[in-house]
Order: sequence, then structure tokens, then C-alpha cells
Amino acid sequence: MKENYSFTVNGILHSTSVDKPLLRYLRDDLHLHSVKDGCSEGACGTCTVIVDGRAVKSCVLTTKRSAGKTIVTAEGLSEKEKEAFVYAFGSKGSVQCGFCIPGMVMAGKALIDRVPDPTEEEIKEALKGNICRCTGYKKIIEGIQLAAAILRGDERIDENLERGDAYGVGEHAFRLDVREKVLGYGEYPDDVEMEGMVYASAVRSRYPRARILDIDFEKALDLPGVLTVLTAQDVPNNKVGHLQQDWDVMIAKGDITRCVGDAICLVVAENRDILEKAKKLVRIQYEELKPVTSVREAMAEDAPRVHSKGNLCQSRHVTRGDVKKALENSKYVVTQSYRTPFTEHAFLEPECAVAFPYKDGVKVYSTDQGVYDTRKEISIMFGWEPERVVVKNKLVGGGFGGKEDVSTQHIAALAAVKVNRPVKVVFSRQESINFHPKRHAMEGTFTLGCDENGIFTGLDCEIYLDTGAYASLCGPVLERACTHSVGPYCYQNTDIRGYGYYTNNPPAGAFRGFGVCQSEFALESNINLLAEKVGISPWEIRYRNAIEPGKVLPNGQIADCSTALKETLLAVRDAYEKNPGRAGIACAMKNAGVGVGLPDKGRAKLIVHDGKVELYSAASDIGQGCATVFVQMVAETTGLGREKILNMGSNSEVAPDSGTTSGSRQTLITGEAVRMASADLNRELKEAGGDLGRLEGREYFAEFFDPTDKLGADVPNPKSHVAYGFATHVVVLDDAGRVKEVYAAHDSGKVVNPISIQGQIEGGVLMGLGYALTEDFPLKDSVPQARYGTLGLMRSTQIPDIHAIYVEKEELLPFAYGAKGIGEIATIPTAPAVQGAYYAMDHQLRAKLPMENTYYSRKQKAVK
Amino acid sequence: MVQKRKEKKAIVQCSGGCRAEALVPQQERKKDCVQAAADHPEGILKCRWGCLGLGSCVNACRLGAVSINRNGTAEVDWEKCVGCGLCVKACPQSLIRLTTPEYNIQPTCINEESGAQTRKNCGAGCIACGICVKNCPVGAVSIEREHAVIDEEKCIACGMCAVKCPRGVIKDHNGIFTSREI
Repeated sequence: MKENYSFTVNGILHSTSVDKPLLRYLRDDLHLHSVKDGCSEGACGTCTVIVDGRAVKSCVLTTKRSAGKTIVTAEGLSEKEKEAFVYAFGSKGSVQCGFCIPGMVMAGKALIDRVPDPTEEEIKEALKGNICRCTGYKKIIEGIQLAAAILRGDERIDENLERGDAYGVGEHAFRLDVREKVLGYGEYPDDVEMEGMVYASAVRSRYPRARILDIDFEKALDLPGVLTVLTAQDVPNNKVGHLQQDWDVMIAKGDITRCVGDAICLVVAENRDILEKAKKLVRIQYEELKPVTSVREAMAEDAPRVHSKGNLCQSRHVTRGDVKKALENSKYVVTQSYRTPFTEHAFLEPECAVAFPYKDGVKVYSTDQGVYDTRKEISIMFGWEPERVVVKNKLVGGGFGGKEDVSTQHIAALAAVKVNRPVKVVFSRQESINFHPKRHAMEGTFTLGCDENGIFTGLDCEIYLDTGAYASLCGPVLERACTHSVGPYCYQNTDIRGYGYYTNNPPAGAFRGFGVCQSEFALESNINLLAEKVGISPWEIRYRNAIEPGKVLPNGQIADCSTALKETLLAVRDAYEKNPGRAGIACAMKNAGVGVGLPDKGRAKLIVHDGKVELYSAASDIGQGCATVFVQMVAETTGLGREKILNMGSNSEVAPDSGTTSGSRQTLITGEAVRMASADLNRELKEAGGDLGRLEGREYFAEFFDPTDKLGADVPNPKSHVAYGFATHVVVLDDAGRVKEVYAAHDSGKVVNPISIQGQIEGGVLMGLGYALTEDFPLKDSVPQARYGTLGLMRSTQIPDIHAIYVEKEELLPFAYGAKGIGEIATIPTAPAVQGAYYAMDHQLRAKLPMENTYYSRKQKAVK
Repeated sequence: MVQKRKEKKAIVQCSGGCRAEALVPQQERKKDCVQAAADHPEGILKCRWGCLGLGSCVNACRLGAVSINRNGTAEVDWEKCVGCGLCVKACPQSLIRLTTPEYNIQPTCINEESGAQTRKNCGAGCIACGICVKNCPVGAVSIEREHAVIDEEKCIACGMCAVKCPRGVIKDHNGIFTSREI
């Protein structure tokens, strides 16, 4: 007789005879979708539930081991607890992408049940097993403290906050998506269940570079429940790619693989279990070939060609003035080489898509950074008119650049069309790590000169990026690495040469910072060396060279009126100077908007429907909060409260294309389009005496486009970008070399949502600290060696005190109420500031990331 | 906010007891581990590292937190334990150590014999198979001197090693991933 395992879930007794991970039982059998599947290997904490009063990862526990136990998920919280957590997390800004949040809530509840008044240290300890990649933990800790206070009766819920009658620019706006994310009923693609839905998954290459001699899937096809197995032959056009279509949907028999993420065939089956069994039955014969493992190898004349056109994927040459002469005439010159690693985005939600036949084509529920980009890539694969493909974003559980390229969407669409049923494709965590493009690894040599007063004279540099197996966004990333290698300063002689090479490593593409994390790490480190030669402080040399309104940036663009780099420097001056020998400083600039002559347009449509304003704009909210920002723009312009404004989400069928969530652009570019449409609405609303009902059915469409000049445009002062954000970070170490404090001062123009911007800064800084100190992406012969839990992501117990500072100037840009982007810049100056702090402490230049011989690297080593 | 001092808890690193092959039958051992060890220099158990089950630690504890469980090994009740360390000092086998309560996942064997020998010596011994090492998501487990060791600096107490351990050597002190009893 089969054994039965009985346990209580949210107060109801359940029983099963199947021994499987509790996570799978809760999600698949009980449909409790607050229990998120972030890694299924115990590393991330998104599946945390409470078992007999303890926070437990449900992917580790099994149904068998749960027998007799009492289990609580977010769905099973009491009404009082639900309201306390929703209010606390919304009020404190604890929610960004939201994928970690139900797990955080359960870990928090388990603690509060035992300790009603937990200390900060106790909360950090309780969250140690739960990764958050967005917030930097600080706001989650504050959220749990407030929830505890409410549950004790020491604090009260202010219901006005969530209702949002005052929701304009600069208000303490409660994000739109707090409730659904805290309670876990908001849908990410993996939470979608459809009638007749089947599952697909690719069998991927065992080797980074191998010729596919044979693909034998007969046995898999014979397995009951397998619908079909697709290969390259079944793909109408086997190439996709965000900008360059160089990415094979599947590697055909006879062709050579380019990385271990390459798909060879796609199995479609009735359920997950059959799918996994079937995948194991596929036999692939390989002729293993030696991979190209580095840029150096890729450059060799006799190197194997990763792509037929050769291994040089992209190059850029940015030059202005006469750098040779400038450096010859410089009083001081510093030349130094730097190396930075690949970085994994490690967003909490692995890639997932659900596709199904729709009208004369296919519809895809996606988690991505631009539904129109995804639509374009899928339509290229099918050879269709783009309109036949409809892409709608569900909630996006973090992106950071890693969800700009298609991953699951196109293969889900392909399978759905072939089997004529809804198909779900969800990546395992390791598949995600192996497949999606990383931050480019960089090697570069930077020569920077200055005069006797420390005024910069010129920069000569050469940058090599490893773009791995596919181009992804190599071109623009390389270009930003080059254009921003100059820093936010004021000198006119540059010669910057950039090269992006194909290798057999995992692909590299967009990642928060977009090439600038790499080049500004190098530049800012060089600046410290120059300051030393001149005999002035690292703060002073930056202040003397800092760009100001009206002055000319090294790319020729005249800094606009909103430029506030000096204000950020002043904001951190005391923190820097109070910690001699322990503090490091770095500045950064980052474009907001794609710029460089591209048609970077924001579009928005407002429709008055059922007495409410519906906002249509396809601009992905990947957790950073732009969906809320847009509603704030409508509220600011029209004076309407949040309850009168609905953001209808990112859907290519009904919402106009407002570009990719990339280049820190949504707040400014789409925000201005929303403001323009809102202004039209407001005009008519006033004429209607403020009665929205009289505008029923009216539509207001706006498109915002502020033209820019392309790279190398033959004008004296080319305008590369609509706007730049500026920042200065100061990192303070304690005597043991641990990061104690970070002061992060930002000029992002007008702050639309103060709580959100703090969260962006804190999260960005923590990501930058990881980049500097703990995160790595080791490869062995082009094969990733890291698992989610060993990437070196910072945990709650490791965080320093991060002070998010924003300087707001009177003079603002005339767009989007003066807001500029914050998304990327928050993560750029941190690593060089850490480097500077260590240099101040022991005078060793650490020119390689993650840095060696630090408190953190010694900890890592000690345990190995 | 006032930060509380981290509390400590004692943990016994053996769950052998009646499952450990004995050289000296239970009834012939004196009522004290130190004395028994002196009486039988050739050893009491086939495993040189195991818990003798005679309760020197039980006697040392002033709070009644330590007892000999039905398997015949010492066990600490974390509800009563204050982490004073008296039991640690009392154990002649050096089997007891202090930890903090958030590290509820603990290996309960420190024998240094080869896996094959351990199988012969004890039904509850670590055989150094390394399944825990392979399954640990954060790289916190290693095999040192033929037994599993968890680096608490890295451990997130997810319980994966306890669930995967084929010998039931790695225990969850909270009694969720494994039985609490050692």
C-alpha cells in the first residue's frame, strides 16, 4: 500500500501519496502561487514558507518530510497580518520587483511570531537565507520592523497612503503593485495556468564548442505524453538577436555550438515530469572542439571563428582633440591596466514565458524589458509581420538588463504554433545562468594626464570586451563603455578605442551600467593615482575637474542647466574628509535615454473609460517602479488621485511602443510622453469643469522625441544624450577592512518618488559592492562554474549602512517635470570608491575585480 | 535600538549511541564518561570518537538541559540551554561544541575513520560520501578528516544537506527537515 503524507496547509488538512518537493506540491497541486520558485536548490529563499513556526525553504522540504506538520504560506496570513505587511512594505518602499517578497514576508512573520520586537540584527539574521537583488535589504528590514510595530499595536495603518489621493510628483507614493506582490497573488508568467497548457524545454549543449553529429530523439518521442520534439529544421528562420540576428534558435545537425547555453532540440510534453524524462532520452552525438575562452584567444590569427564573419563583433573609435600632444605636454601621466569579470544579473525570477495561438498568430505572456523588442525577435523567427505576434508582460521579477534578449519567449511561441496549444517554458536556475547575456568582462589600459594643478588634459584608452557567444547588445554597450570612459569631467582630448570579441563563453549584453561600470572603474582608479602625484586629495581633484552647467563634456556635449555633479561632491565631502585613510570616493555620469541619434521615442495614450483614466504605454516595469512613476505624472498633471488612474500595463496589442527599459530612460522619455498626454487631458478636463465623466471615451495620445546627434557627428558640440545623471559615492571601511558605510549622492533631477529612488540607490550600491568585492563568474574552459548560491551575492547580514542622498536643483530639464533616470548610475561609482578606500588604507592598487586581498576575499579563501 | 547579545547553544556531535558497535557492553561501563574512559584504555566503542552515553555532560549541566536520549547519546534541550559551556568542558570525547541557534542544521558525527570502516563501526556515522557537499547551494559544506563539516560563516541553514544525507547524520535541531532526536 502506498504511504500517504498528511499535513495542514493554511488551516486545511491535505494528503498526498506522492513524495516530491513541498514547493512543487504547494504550487502545482494547491496553486498557492505566493510560493515562488527562484532556484529550486535552497539558495534564494523565494519559496520560504512557515512550517511549525519556522521559516523554511519549501524547495528543500519534501511532502514526505512534511507529514504531520503545519504549513503557512502568504495566502494563509490572517487579515491583520496581511494588512500590516502590505502597509508596512508599501510605506517603507520594501517592494521592487517583488519576486522575493512573499518569502521575505514569511521569514519576517516567523521571526515576529517568536520575537514581537525584533532588533535590526535579528531581522538581518532571519533574512540571511533570502536573497533580494533589488532593494539592498534596507527597506525590507524597515518594512518588517514597521509590520512588527503594527502587529504589536505600537504603530497604526494610515489608509490614506495606499488610497493615494495625493499621488503627484515628489509625493510619498505607495507603489501600485505593493498589495499583489506582498500577498503573492500578482502574476508572473510562471503563475499562469491555462486550459490545455503543456510544457516545453530545450536540450542544451554539453560543450561550449562542439559539432553536432547527430540528434536522436526517437525514444523521447515514443514516451507517452510527449507531443513533439523540434529541431532547427522546424524553425522558419533560425536566427534571432536583439540588434544583430546572430543567435541560432537551435543549433542544427552538422553545425557547431557556440556556448553551453545553446539549444539543440526542443521537447514539448504534457507535464513537467514527462518533459524531464523525455529530455534525458534525447541522445546527441558531439564532436568536441576546443573552445575560444578569452578575448586574447579570439584575437589570435589562427583562432577558430565563433561566427563565420570572424571574431571581432564590434569596434568603436571615439576621438576628439589631440590626445598625443596633450599627454606629451602633461605634467603628470598615469597608465594602468584593469580587469573586470563577467557578472550575472541573478534576478530572482528565472526566465519564463507562456505562449498560445491567438488570432492569426501567437500571444506571449512574457517577463522582459520591452514587449515590442520581444515581438520583433519572435516575428523575425517566424518570418511574419510583427502584428501577428502579441506580447504582454506579466509582472517582471527583476531584469537589470538581463531580460532584454529573448530567452524563453521565442521557443514558447514556436512550440505553441507547432502543437496548437498553450505552452509554458520556464528556465531552471542553472539554465538561466548559462543562457542569458552577462555584464561584459573587460580588459583595458587607461592613460590619463593632468597639469600641475590636477586639471585633466587628455585620456587615451583601449577597451576590450568579451561578448561571448552572441552579440546581444555588444555594440551599444561597447559604445557606452567608450563614451563614458572619460568620466563626468571637463577636458577635450580623447582617443578611445573599443573592441568587442566573440568567444565561446556565455554571451554578454546589457547589465545595469551598460559598459560604464567597467570603464569608470578604470578611470576613477587612475584619477586617485593622479591626485597623489599632484599632491591633492581624491575629493579635491574631482571637484576641480567636475563638469558644470555650460561647460563642455569630453564628448563635446554642453552640460545642461540641470547638471549637479558638484552638488553631489559637496554632499559627501564631510563624510569623506572625516574618515582619512578609510574612505574612498568616485564620481560617475550616466546617460538617461538611448540618444546618439537614434529614434528614441516615448509614447503614451490615455483613454477615459468608466470614469477612470486608463494609461496605455508599453514600457516594462522590471521592478524599478516606472509604472507607478507614470501614474504619478498623470496625477501631477491632472490633480486626479491614484484611484482614478489605471496603468494598463505593457501589452503590444493595445499599448503604444515606448521603447526598451534600458539606458535609464523610462522615467524621462516615457514620463514626458505621459505628461504631454496628461496635459491634453487636463485641458479638456478643465473645460469640462473637472468632471471626468464628461470625457468618457476620449483618447489622448502623445509622442515625445528629443533628437540627439549620432556618435562622431560633424558638429562642434554634438548632443549625445537628452540628459545625464551624475553621482558621487563615498565608501568608508572599518579597521578590519569591512565596508562600514556608503554615502551615495545622486543628481537625478527632480525626484518623482522619494521612497523609490532611495530603494534604487540602496540596491544599486549593494550591487556595486558585490561587483567590487564578492561577485564573480568563474568559467572553466568557457563553462560557468557558479551556482546561484555561490555567485557571491551579498546577503542581509553583510550590508553596510547605505545613505541615499539626492540633490535636487532649482534648474531642471523641461521634460517629465525635470526627472532624469536613476536606474543604472546607482551601481556605477561604488566599485571604484571601494577601490579608493582600500587604496587609502593600505596603498595597494587593486586593479582587478572582484578585488583581491580584502576582508571579503580572505573570508572566502579561509573556507575553501 | 538595543542590540541583544547573541545567545549560544550547545550541540552534541554524535548520534551513534545504540547504533555504535560497542567493545565494552553498556552494562559494564561505569556511571561516568571520564571514569569509564580511564577504565577501558582500549576503548569502549569501536568508534574512537563516539558518545559514551554515561552522562558526564548531564551531570555538569546545572539547568537540566542535557540528557541521554533513548538512543543512548547525549542531547541538549535548546529551550533550557544558555550556552554556558560546562558540558563542553565535561565531555572527555570533545564531542560538544557551542553554536548559535540560527545554525539549526548540524552534522552529528566527527569520526575520522574511512567511510568503509565507519559503516562497520556505527549505524549513524558519517561515511564522507560528499552528497552534502554536492547539494549545498552555497558551498558551505566540506569533508574534513572523513566527516562533513559546515562552515557557519557561509551556511544559510536551508537544510538541503540534512535532507540529502543518506545516513541521517546531518540533523535539523528544529525537527523540521529531520527528526530532532539525535
